Amino acid sequence: MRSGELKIVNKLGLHARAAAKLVKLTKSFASTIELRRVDAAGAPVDAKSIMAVLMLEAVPGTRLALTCDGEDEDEAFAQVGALVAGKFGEGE
Amino acid sequence: MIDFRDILRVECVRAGIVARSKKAVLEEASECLAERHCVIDPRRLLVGLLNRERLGSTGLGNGVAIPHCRFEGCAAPVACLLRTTAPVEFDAPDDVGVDLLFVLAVPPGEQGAHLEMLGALARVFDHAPNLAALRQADGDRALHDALHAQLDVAQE
Repeated sequence: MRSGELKIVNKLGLHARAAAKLVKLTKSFASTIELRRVDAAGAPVDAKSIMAVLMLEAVPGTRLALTCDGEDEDEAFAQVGALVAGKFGEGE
Repeated sequence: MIDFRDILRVECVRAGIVARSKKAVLEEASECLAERHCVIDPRRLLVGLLNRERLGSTGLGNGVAIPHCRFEGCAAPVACLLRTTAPVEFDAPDDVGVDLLFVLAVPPGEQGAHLEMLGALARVFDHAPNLAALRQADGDRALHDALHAQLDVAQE
């Protein structure tokens, strides 16, 4: 299992289009992938569900705990981290 | 907490939309919002909604979509809720046709409130009994009341 913390750094936060991109990526992996808001007591959510990702309501600056568990967990962890750090390809 | 009753009025809830395409249903939505909100030019809103769909479908799966765009014509977020008589092809992630659409126009620069709205809508639409109640609601008023009751619970 791989786990670590991500920070939302794009200007618009985890809005619908960013969430759709994230889910498209997570669904390409066999591993179980979960996200949880670090600042809240809530349970981790399935990062392959667009509804669940939108429920995080992650505005810019939100810290998220990412957990990947499965045969391709290293690659999943690296690529999800890169997508978030790369501002979902939005440029700002 | 977002007050969805200010955003979605009963005049903008339509339970019997007949539309065969994504563009046709978004046209209905644009006209519906323009009728209620005189500052909205339906053609410009339609362009905004279609441009947003080109960047990626707003279909969420389970027959639900949340078409939305930023629209400088409105001072506060405004929405309409449409239910179509038959599913419309929407390029949704699960490839299921869409029959429930919450269509939202938001002023530029309302990121925080926008994410809070999307979160509340996702909590409602992720719950299968809610979708069943929305599909069974008899008429515009009943559909309006059902969604607002669900949004109240989602925001508790």
